[in-house]
Amino acid sequence: MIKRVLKSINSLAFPISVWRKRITFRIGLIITTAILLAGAAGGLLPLIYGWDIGFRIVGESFQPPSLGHVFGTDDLGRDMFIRILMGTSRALAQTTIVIVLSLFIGLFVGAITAYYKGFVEKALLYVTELFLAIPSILLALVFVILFGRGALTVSLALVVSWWSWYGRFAYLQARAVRDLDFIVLAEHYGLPGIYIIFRHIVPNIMSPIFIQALTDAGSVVIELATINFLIGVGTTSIEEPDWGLMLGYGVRYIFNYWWIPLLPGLFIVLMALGFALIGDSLYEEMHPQLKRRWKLWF
Amino acid sequence: MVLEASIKSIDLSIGYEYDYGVLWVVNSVNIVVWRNTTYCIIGESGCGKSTLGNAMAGLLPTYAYTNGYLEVEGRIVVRGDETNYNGVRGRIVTRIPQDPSSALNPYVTIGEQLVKVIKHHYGVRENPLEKAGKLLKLVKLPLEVIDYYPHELSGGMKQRAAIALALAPMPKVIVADEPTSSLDAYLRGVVASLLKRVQRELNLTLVFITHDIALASTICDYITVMYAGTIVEEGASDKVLHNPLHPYTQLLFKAIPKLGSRETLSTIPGSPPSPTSYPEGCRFRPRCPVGFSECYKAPKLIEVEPQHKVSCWRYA
Amino acid sequence: MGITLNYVVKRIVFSTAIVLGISIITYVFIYLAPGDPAYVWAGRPRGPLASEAIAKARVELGLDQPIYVQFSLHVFRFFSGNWGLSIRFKQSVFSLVMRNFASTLELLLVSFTISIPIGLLLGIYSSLYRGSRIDAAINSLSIVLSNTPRFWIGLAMLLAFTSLNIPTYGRISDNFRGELIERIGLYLVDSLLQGRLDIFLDVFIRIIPPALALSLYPIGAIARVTRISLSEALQEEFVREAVSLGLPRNIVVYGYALRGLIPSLVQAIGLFFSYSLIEAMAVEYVFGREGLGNLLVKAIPANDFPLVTAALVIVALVYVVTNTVADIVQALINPRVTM
Repeated sequence: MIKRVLKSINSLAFPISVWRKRITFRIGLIITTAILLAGAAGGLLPLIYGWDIGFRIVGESFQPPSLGHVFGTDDLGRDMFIRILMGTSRALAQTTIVIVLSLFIGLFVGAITAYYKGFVEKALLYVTELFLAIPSILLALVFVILFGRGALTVSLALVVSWWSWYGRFAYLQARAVRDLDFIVLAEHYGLPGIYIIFRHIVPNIMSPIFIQALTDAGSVVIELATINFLIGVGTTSIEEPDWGLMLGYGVRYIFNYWWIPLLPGLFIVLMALGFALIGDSLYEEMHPQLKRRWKLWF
Repeated sequence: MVLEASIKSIDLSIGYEYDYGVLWVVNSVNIVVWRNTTYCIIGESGCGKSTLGNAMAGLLPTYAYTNGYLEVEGRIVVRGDETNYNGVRGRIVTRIPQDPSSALNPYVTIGEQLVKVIKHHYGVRENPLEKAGKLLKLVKLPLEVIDYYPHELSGGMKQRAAIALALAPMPKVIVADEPTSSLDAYLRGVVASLLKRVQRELNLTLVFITHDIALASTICDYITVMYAGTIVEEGASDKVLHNPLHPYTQLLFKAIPKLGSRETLSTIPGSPPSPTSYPEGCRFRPRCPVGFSECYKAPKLIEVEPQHKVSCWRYA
Repeated sequence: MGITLNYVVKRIVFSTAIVLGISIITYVFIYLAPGDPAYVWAGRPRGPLASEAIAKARVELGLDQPIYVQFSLHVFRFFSGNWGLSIRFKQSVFSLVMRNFASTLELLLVSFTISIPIGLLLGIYSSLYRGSRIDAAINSLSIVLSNTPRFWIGLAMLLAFTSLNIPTYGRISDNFRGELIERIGLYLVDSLLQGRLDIFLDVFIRIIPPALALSLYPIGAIARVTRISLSEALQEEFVREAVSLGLPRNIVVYGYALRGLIPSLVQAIGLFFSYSLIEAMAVEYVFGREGLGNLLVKAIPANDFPLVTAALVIVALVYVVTNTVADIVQALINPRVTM
């Protein structure tokens, strides 16, 4: 138990060194922390003030940003600031679900694909490529038509689409590891394949994939937003405080009440940016070729 | 016969950047390479000979630091911590790589690579294909090679193609960085004698870097022995080969196996020091069988007889 | 060249298998749809001819036949372009999509014509001067660009341009709409073919802002990919060899280092292209242009999933095609690929 704690503190040394070296990491971490705080606030608000806090009419419609309503009010008179905060927690929850689930599925499918060669490999590769070809946003729209507009539907649709991305990534990484001596030795000892995969292959391919997942969080946020945007533009009213929905629905008010669509959009940008900056600076730190001093010597 | 200097270095030092500073792998080296000679640099792996060769050819990596002075065919390429190889690479000096497989552009045929270099250096003055053909003949490669890709050639042919490439700009100096290390034993002699022949026919200066002493002895006019970043012995090849003075050189020569002999192989005890921890004074002292108290001071290169210098306190 | 007929055939067979797989998936969708599949397939008809239409649809779908017959019927329909009737528009989905695809494609093509050169140049420059402040700036810029939703930027641009009185809403001015003769469906080309420079200018002005908004992601992504791969390629041994032979910087960078990167760059650009197709639809809507985006947005509230499914298929097809092309290019350039 104590060993595990010490190990995890040790692994913090890497992020700490990145903090010292790169501005992008610092900016990204600051932005992400702000978003996380906003998300926490958004999650706590309903608990403190009641479940309908984001849905109550608290003022006149179409109020521009002011002291009373920091982000203004929307067309029904709901406070935009509260709704955007709640949107933060929704976005964070959805992104986490999508990334965690698709990461797990993709990791194991990829490792299995690389480990069992022959027909299994070819078949799983085909399936992975097939799902890779299917556009995530449109798949989500189809799911929404089939199963309704909920946040869960959209998230699951994205998982169905994104696992293949990690599946291919994991496959490529696992393929390199698969022929290493210690794996071959483990097989000769008679260890079952599944054990080898879980205990030996997966831990060795995890880190680059994790970093990739962190950077992908930004794309996932944008995809979620795009899906809900496309839904929002066509709908006649919105209830849930989802950023994409608010943006899409608010487009019709862009010329007169610009804060209704543009402010949720700003938060989408911030969240995506925060994750992408962290992911990118970690990626650069992990790749020694990019670290060495370079001079244009010719 | 009047000898002119082709390459001259004064207190040249080269180091590599690493996590905690700079590792100096070549230390205050003073050499003179005479024109139209074959000059061999021998030593164990890691003694700095490749780095020295790279400095002459203008191929120091971006994380390298320099100190001292280096001049190639009259052009100053290293002065202090600044390097300037403009106009030197290609026209004056080219390099033959150690591993031709990675040095040849894998996406392009041999002929195209040759033509690119020829076109750049000669423009319209020469028909590029004719010139390429002449170069291939010089290295004894069949003309069909022009349409082959590097991966379709054998190791020996690739190396010869690399030599042809190095000759294309008609340089005055060629630095061959362990050109035989990746080849089979039989090919080594072929490539070495090819280089010697080319050097003589085209009046070039050849700097031949290797750790194969027996091979070097067959073609060189001058030999330099390097150890741990410094020159321990240098001179005309017949003098050094028949009368090695430095203990390291003597042990090296003794360690060469003789064909057919059943004697136990002699070795040099210990291993070369790593650049992070060079010993004080003479760097060979920890392994030297005849070291004494003076050896804790750094020795200097002294001329013991004409065209034979050694860096050892036994001859001071 | 490593290209062999064998390789090309293998590749095309694999791609066809993927397309087949896509058709399987659309098959699954039809039967997950809410309500009676035949009713939905017929476009939810009402009125006197409704029952006939539903009966016809029932036969087409082969609902009372065993599964394998249904499935083969479906595959046949899929490849012959019979994708059903749009619930919202009551027209053949296939013809709807094909008609509007040209507009979206035009936007995408203009956008990529802008973004490929800019992205490449930025990436090359920042990898040559890696570690300098300009490089850091370009890198941060490309991250920022890749992570803003294009439709949001498009919205902001629409606001800006309209307040400057530059016409950018819609694909073509209403005045010209009746005058343009559509030959290919790409208005830029058609107006030139017709010799009408005024129409061309109008279409051009209206296409630039959305194309710019759309190109932000490709510019950033291409710059980043180029930077990373070129930085690695510049450290390769054969690049150093080329330098040692005296070749100048331009030839070394473009003829040696970049040349080997072409296949992976093409692959990456193809990926970005298919990804941007969806974005193009969103941006289209923001700027009020006709095209798949507009169709899509109207289809969603009407639960018109034949149309949405068709959009999915189109995008997937574009992805498969660009991937196959990229793989063939890879074999062309890299003489060692023989597979």
